[in-house]
Amino acid sequence: MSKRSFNPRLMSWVLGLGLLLMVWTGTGCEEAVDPVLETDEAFSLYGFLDPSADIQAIRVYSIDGLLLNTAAEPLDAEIRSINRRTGEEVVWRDSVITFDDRSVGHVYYARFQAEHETPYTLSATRSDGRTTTVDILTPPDGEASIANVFSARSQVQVDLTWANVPRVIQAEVSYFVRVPFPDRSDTTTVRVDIKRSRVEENSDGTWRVSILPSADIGNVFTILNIEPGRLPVILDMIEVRAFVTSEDWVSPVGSFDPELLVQPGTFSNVTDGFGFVGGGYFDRFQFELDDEATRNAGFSVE
Amino acid sequence: MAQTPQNMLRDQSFPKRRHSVLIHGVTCFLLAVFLALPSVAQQSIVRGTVVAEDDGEPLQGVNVTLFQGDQLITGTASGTDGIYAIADISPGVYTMRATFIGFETWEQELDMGAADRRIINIVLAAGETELDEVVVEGDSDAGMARVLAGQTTLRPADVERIPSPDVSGDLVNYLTTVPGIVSIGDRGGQLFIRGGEPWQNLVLLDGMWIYQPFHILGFFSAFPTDILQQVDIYAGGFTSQYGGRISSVIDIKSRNGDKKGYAGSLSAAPFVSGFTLEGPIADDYVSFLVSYRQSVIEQGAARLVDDDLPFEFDDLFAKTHAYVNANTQLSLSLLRTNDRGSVFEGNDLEDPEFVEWENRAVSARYLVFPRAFPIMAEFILSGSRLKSSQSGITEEVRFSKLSSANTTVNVTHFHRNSEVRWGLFARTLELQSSLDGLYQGFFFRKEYATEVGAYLEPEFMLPWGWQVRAGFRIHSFPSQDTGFLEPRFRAVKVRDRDEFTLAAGMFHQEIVGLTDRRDAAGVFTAWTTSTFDQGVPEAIHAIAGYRRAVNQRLEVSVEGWAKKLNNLFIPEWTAYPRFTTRIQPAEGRVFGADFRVQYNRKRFNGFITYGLSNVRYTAKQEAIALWYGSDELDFRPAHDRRHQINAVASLDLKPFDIDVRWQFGSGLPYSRALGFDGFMVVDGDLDVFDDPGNRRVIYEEPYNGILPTYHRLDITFQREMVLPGNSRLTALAGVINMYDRQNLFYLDVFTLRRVDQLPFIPTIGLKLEMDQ
Repeated sequence: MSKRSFNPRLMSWVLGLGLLLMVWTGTGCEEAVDPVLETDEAFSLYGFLDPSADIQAIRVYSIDGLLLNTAAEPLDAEIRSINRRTGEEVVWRDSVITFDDRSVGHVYYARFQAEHETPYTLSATRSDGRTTTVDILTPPDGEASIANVFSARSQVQVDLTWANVPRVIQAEVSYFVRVPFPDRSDTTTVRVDIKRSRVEENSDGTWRVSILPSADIGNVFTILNIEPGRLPVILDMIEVRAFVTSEDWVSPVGSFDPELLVQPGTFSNVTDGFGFVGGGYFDRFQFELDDEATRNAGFSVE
Repeated sequence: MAQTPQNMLRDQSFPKRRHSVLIHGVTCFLLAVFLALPSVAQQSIVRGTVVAEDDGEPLQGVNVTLFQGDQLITGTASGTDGIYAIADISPGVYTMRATFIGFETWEQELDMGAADRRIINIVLAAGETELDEVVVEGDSDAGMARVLAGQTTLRPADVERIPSPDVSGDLVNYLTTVPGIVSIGDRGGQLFIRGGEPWQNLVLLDGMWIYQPFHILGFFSAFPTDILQQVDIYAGGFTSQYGGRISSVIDIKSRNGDKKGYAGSLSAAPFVSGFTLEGPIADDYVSFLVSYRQSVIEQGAARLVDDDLPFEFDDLFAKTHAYVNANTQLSLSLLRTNDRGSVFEGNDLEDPEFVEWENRAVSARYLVFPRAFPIMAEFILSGSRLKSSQSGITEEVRFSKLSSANTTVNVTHFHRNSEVRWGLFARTLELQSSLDGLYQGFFFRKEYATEVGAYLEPEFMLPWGWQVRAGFRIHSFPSQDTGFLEPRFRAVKVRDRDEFTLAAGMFHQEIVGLTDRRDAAGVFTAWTTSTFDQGVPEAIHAIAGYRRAVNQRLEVSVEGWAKKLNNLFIPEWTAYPRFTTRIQPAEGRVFGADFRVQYNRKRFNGFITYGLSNVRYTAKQEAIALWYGSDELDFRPAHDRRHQINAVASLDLKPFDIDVRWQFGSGLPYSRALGFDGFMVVDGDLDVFDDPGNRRVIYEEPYNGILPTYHRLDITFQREMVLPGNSRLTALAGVINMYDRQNLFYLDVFTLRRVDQLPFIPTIGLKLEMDQ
């Protein structure tokens, strides 16, 4: 083993040299980091063209490099729609909406009635030329009919069929009922909305919407805050609204679960952007139940 | 599926009906231990404690030997608490000798009879020692931290050599030099050990469970060197004595107060100021020690860097220790810590977040050598509580509270060249959390859990020189209907200057921490029982190491390690920019290698470590197939630091001491974004005039980016001056981040705002120590 003694002077020189080298190589340096890669996509668009409405509207988000709340100032976007069958072009107008939560959003709208079964192209163009587009085919006007009424005591189901439509993705039912005032001097007509009904595709390509008045009556009493049996609730009419959509309006997970669909690109028909713009409308169908079915469902008849 | 032996081995958790197996196992275990007692009771044994004469402090690593004439018959080295035991002594007359560097050799004649059981407490006086002393066990002096199959043993002097902004060192500064221990930075106080997450680390102080012991400013923990006696860091493969965690164990033993005279210190520095006080309550028998530190960042360091450093913390440690009689010791310890600060400073969409936590812990430790048996028994009663919360300016407070009461009995049977250790433990916990509905939809949760179990770990010699410690730990949570059998194994073979080590084991963790770990900087942790369908988090460790003492000064070691992590859970990925504790199942695998070179001379001491690590998680969120087209997704989690280098040097250039540390870490993974937009659910209910929608992050695949590398140089100069009246003044001057490297601490991907770690900071400090 070496007998050389420790030389603190030499060691301090070596240490000092090492330190100087580190200082020289590293002084004040900062490695840049670029966490946002940027993308060619310009906008995210959400909404649908509604042939039953005379104003069309979509929500437009610009794709930014920073996560900031949308400012209440004009958006660098020009939105146009073209009816590809007629060539008619419409320039949409921006409106800055302040929502209940005080956030701000850009809703573009245009005053025209979309035609049924018509192809449209919607484009959003930035001043630098980047454009996001989406092709939309509006659904045809559907034909609704009652396919079947099953009526037994406390069990009433009505099946309705929508024919000549590409897709029905949800349905709502409203019960128009008359409820007496507490002193029973008169009655008032009330509309009670039940949000969801069962929708299935039939084997022949038509769509079946099933409603269960005997089950819904519990919700009707709850919404009206009436104790069952205390006051007569007279059913005048039922309205079913089926949301008829274009063929491509299909969630990849079957439902519209925001936790799953929030991932960009998971549910999108937009080119050079994100989001979804479809064609859809609520098709209404109203009917009355016969007295027996009305009683079996738990409602009163006049 | 049929429960084959292979399945049992693969999945060692056996819930529900297998409790009878557990109960039978524990019963057999206890019977075996108690039946073995009478046989070992016939041995002759000498046991006791070695303490220093000047302050009564226990001495570890003292060689205690028995000679007949000039012939060494047997011997041992004192361990924790200065305890030694030499068993299986043949009847005869011996010269008993105790030697330790820096102390005078102690000798006594010993006349041993058959089945003789002696307790001899040794008091060593300071003085010179002959250098040709007999070394019974490969013990190391301060400055040569002992590394053994994932285990690093430290003394306070090892910690003091790491540059620190305070005059007194702090354990956390040493921990971050250990390869495989990843610190996220100088704030937050989170340590990731060999791929494990902070909630998977067990930190014990005198037997107390300390759940969040590292202060919010990363230079400081609840463990200043002033209170340390010994620290054992198990980065993996820990022994059967430890359980309830799947990553690592940091077992800290505090020192006792001076039993001869009063002493104290006062210190002041830009980050913390504090004091210690110690002394005898009853001379030679009972002592006390109190240490208190309070951050002074706002008044000190924040002015030096001309920046807001919104951190506050303090810690208080108190201990009394008593030699009750010749064969029993009793100590009472207390720890209190408080931390408060802002780690996330907010952005356009999110408020700043304030985190706050407090630890409270007490323990009573009773150590006894029963005169009737050749054993040592340790009884520990302890209670711990952690309260933590996170709040924004407008958000509701999320909080978590974990309280536990622990009872542990550790028994060591001494044999001539081996020991048998066994123990019993029981723990009861109360867990409360309120997470604002973010964890699996619950807002407030309160639950209780009880753990009972036992371990047995004999140590024996195998042929070819392998000393093996193989055992098992069996424990159960009756309230959770879970039980676990965990085999453990450690082996060491010493051949001349070479030391080979192996370790392996299986570990489970029933009590788990939930945290928002998307960027590794999350601090707030909510504790709960593992109520996940996929099972209790489990780890299997394997370690193989080699160490060579090239000469008396130079030592090199290399250690390879691997961990398999099952039943993990990680936050669900979401494109919503928000805090989330929604979880998804995951598996993990970790492997790496640690390299260490130490050089130690009288006036120079240094080491270089290099850690290579590879951590990969496999996420199994159901939506992965939808989003990425495969059922699982492999990724590098946010704490996967591939390369880590630490170079530490201490130079005694009288009258100054210079301590230098350079650290380097490769960049950590993070999730890069392509941009930001908004999201709306498009169904028939959509009303664009009424629905505000949500902001959204357009991510690439998770953790596909790498943050910049981290490196920093710290240097301190210290000078100790002797003052009149048995006082010493230590002055410290130094620089943290000497070349002003702008190391990234936190990158707000949403706003591109970067928060850097501490810049160039000059630091000064004074410490006045007084002895009676």
